[in-house]
Amino acid sequence: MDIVRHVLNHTLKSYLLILFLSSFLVTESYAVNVYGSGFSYLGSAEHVESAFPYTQKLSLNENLETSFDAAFLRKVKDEKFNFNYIIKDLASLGDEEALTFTLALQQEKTSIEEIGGVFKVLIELEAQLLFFDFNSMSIVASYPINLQYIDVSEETPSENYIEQKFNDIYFGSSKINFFDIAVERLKAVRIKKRYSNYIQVVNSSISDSVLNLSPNKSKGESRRLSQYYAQSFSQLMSSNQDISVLPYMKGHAIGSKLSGRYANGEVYSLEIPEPDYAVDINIAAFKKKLFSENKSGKSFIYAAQAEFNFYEPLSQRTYFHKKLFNGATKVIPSSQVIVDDWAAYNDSLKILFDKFTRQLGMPSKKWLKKHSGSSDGYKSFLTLKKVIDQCR
Amino acid sequence: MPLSRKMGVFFLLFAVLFTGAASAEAVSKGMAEITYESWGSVSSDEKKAAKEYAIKSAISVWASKQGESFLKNYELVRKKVEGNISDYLFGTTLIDENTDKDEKLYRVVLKVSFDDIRIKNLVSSSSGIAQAEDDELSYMVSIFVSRRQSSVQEFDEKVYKRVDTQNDIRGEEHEDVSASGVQLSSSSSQTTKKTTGGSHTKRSDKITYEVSSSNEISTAMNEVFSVNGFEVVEAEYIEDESGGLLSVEAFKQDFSQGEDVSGRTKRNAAKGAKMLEIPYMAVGTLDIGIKDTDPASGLTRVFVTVTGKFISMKKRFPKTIASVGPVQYAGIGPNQSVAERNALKLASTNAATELVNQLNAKGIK
Repeated sequence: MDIVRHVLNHTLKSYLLILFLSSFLVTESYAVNVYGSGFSYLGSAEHVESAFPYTQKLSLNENLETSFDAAFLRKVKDEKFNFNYIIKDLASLGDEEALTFTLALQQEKTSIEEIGGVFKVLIELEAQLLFFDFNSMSIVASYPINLQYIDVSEETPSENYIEQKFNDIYFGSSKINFFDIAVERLKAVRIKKRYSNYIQVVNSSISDSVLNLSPNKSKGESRRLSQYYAQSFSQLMSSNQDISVLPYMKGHAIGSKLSGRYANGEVYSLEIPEPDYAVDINIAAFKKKLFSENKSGKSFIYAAQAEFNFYEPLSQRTYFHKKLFNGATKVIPSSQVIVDDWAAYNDSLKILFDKFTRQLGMPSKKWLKKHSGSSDGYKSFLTLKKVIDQCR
Repeated sequence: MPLSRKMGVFFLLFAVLFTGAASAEAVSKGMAEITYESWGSVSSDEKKAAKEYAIKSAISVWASKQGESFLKNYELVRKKVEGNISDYLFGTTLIDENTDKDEKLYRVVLKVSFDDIRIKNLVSSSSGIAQAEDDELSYMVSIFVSRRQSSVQEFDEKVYKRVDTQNDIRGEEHEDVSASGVQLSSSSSQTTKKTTGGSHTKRSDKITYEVSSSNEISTAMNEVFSVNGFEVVEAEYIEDESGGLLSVEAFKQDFSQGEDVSGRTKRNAAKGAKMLEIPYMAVGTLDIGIKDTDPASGLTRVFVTVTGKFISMKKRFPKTIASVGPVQYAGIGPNQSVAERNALKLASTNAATELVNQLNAKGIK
């Protein structure tokens, strides 16, 4: 009996060992090799010179310990990814199955707004986790990330103050750290050597009525907001559906080429695949309505309405074209004199983007009715699931 | 049963190419829309046929993107490619399919990945030159020279001014005769007229060029001509045998000053080649422009303008049978010399490819 138990035990152990080894081998053999190529800036040479003033200033610091590449490397070196992240070796042209990765900063925005005697400092960073084929220099997958940092100061923020905030965002240990956000997204990415189909936000716009509610009503701000909303939607669609979304590149790409520059000054130019599915976004309206009122304060509904058009560019077949809205309630205490409506509208819009992009994988009739006013077009809403599945 | 007979009525093809054709794998999108005749819904055979049309349309659009002369050559092998489509296909990805039951329309959009190099090889192997026997193959000589501005002499404006002065003097004399004698008196008046005029003459800058027949050009060009079945002889090796008529130096000398190679130099070269029984000659020029900065990458960018002619000396008089340009190509690099070399290589390869495509389209061998 002991012999039988011993044999069974031995057999079981051997089996488990083989199972463990084979699973390890399978994992290893199917994981894509990805060579890290560091931090970079997206856009033409002219754009890079002027578009990232605070980040560029930090990059001039010659202390290697605080360089962007070193900071990113420290964050990734002990992490586990769904691909073989090779950070020590240079990309090999002979390794045809390998991909190259760069963390590419796309936008840097700093705004200071005086609200009720205090100064609100808003810092926004947009970036792409770009995976590309080093041989053909073409994008294989891209995953957008966003960072929004808000700080309030009683005094007019000085240049030194803003520089310090950027330093904290890149190199500090606070919760909002650019490289932490990048690494978290990177850990969730399931990279493949090839993707069947690509989706991209190709047009983004805002209505005049929305621009009129913005603190800055210039044409330049209209373009910036369009870029920001496209990036924000792309980022949520990518993370909520776990798909690669090609970067929205209005004004950044020349033809189908996307240029960039590494922190050390080397330039690259990547081919952007033609999107198989296109998305147009128009931020149609922001509205505010009093919901309830009592002695302690008032509560308002901040409504955001956006128009979405999903289509196939070659046949011009429209899958889904509808205006959706979201209402978010905000309580304003009686003691608060000044209200930042613009921030409340944007919060409501972001919730709409988030909810809608979650729905793409499992469209619900009830949800559609609630956010569009009717369940008309549910059939077309269902086709979006197929579109998303084709991009996995 | 052919699709046209079975479904008969309506058929539409459309496609779009979306990646470069330099690699061995090209990717192109194709769409087909058919009117189906099956009862109820579109049958699997009809779907299959529509997909085949979408694949063909994707490859057709890729071929048309390669240029007019390539497309003409592709027409010669189109049936062969379409008849054996699986030989060239890496795979297809479904982008969209839609059935309109009311209109009985079925539409499919595919992403088609195929071996473009194999198709290009098939096209070039179907050309007249590729099908010629070894003893039928003809020699050709190529002379391409490039130049870069070495000095610019600017002339001051020549100003010619002319002033015409005209003096008119009018005089009167009076003679009074009286008892006391004779009194003479005179009066005069003078008028001066000035007419000014002249001309400004501007003279063109005198530009001198540094001319070369660089290795990059001949290597890139000869590679294209050789791969496509021509027996290329480099001009430098037959200068002596032509008795100096075919002179690379003469081409360089002409191109260092004028806008083109002189007729005399070309005539002599043609005579020299004909004397050596070389029936074809490719001549051309590459003009290297002034460097600037590439706005996308920030690197140095140089433009090269290329022109080329392929001349046949088979008959009594030399005749141009293919020509290209002027076409501009840009080269980018970390410094001027790298950018220049890249632009020259690109311009040479593309000019030679265009000449070969035109020759193949005409069945020249």
